[in-house]
Amino acid sequence: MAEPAVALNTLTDQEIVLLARGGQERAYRELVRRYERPIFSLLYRMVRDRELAEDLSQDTFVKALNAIESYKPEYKFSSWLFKIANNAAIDHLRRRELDTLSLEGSPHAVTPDAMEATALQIGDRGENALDIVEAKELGGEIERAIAQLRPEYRACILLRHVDGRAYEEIAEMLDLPLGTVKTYIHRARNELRRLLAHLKEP
Amino acid sequence: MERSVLQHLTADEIDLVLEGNYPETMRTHVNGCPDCSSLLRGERLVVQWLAALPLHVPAAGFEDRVMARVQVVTPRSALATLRHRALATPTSRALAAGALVSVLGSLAASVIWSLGHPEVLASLGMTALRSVAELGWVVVHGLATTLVEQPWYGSARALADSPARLAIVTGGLLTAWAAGMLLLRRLIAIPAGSVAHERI
Repeated sequence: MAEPAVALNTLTDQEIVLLARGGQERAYRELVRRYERPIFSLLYRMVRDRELAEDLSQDTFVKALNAIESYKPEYKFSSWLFKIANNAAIDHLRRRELDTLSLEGSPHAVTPDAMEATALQIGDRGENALDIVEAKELGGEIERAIAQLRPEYRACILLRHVDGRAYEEIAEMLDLPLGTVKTYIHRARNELRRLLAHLKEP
Repeated sequence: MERSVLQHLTADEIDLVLEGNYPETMRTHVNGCPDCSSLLRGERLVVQWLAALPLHVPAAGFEDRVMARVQVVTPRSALATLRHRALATPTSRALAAGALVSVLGSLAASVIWSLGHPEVLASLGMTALRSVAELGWVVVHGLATTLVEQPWYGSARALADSPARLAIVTGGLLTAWAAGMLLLRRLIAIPAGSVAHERI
């Protein structure tokens, strides 16, 4: 039977999940399209290795979508997805304790090409060449500073100030008490202020 | 409790200010306190920088690579879904088996008992039928009495006196019913809501 032509981008996550549960592949794809960038960005900043972040992102989506029938619609789909992604990152960091700075490429890359391919890329914001260089330098400094935070501080500050999640949502995602989340975020901001103190106001 | 203008900002108060909530007492303190003023400026800057960080993009074909590893759900009938859920975990399997055994056991026990006591069963059946018939009659009688006692009953009955009037009233009722059904269909249509990250 042909699927009814509903414009998926007008539907909420919950409605798309219902379509996915009804066996519509395009609903799965819509969920991937909606969250591939935020999930990949979070994981990239957590593990600081492009290839690894991509593998973990894939694992996150595969795990979530293959368990779509067990998702409880009373929770936000995005919270559920970010929780899976964060667990994947934390598990990996605990296993590997990968804490070396990798803006110049993955510490596991052995050739210049591999280093180039795995280097942290700072996106431009559509300005002229000088602005792009400045933005990349500033972005690089900020990414470097984030990379120096403890993983649990990093996850909290990224979810709060890059993804714009509420404290309560972060506490639920990371299975942490609300007070702990607030403390981590305040400490992370203090740490970033200290690490970025040499930067001038843009 | 009122905060004193002499107090330095707490972490929670800094959060409030960063969220755009800046009470006058805090503003007065910050204006006269170089420490809090500098702290707040630094916090604002960090938050601005973080919010301006770009989203990273995975390599092309990410969606297809994910979909190659995803098993799309095959829609199941309600019975198949029930069976799937019942057999999903050891606990649910044990519960389902327990329920099945108790249902089949009860059925078997009642059949055996009925075969052994046909006269008791017939007597119980007759009593139950009589009770249901009596109850039904009481309900119908009660409804009819209530209807006849209504002040509008005479006028409503007069409406159905001639076949023409009866046809008009029936037509009107059918039209109202059809309009109601159309309205309900519109009300239960899926709404179009705003979506997180839809513009990413």
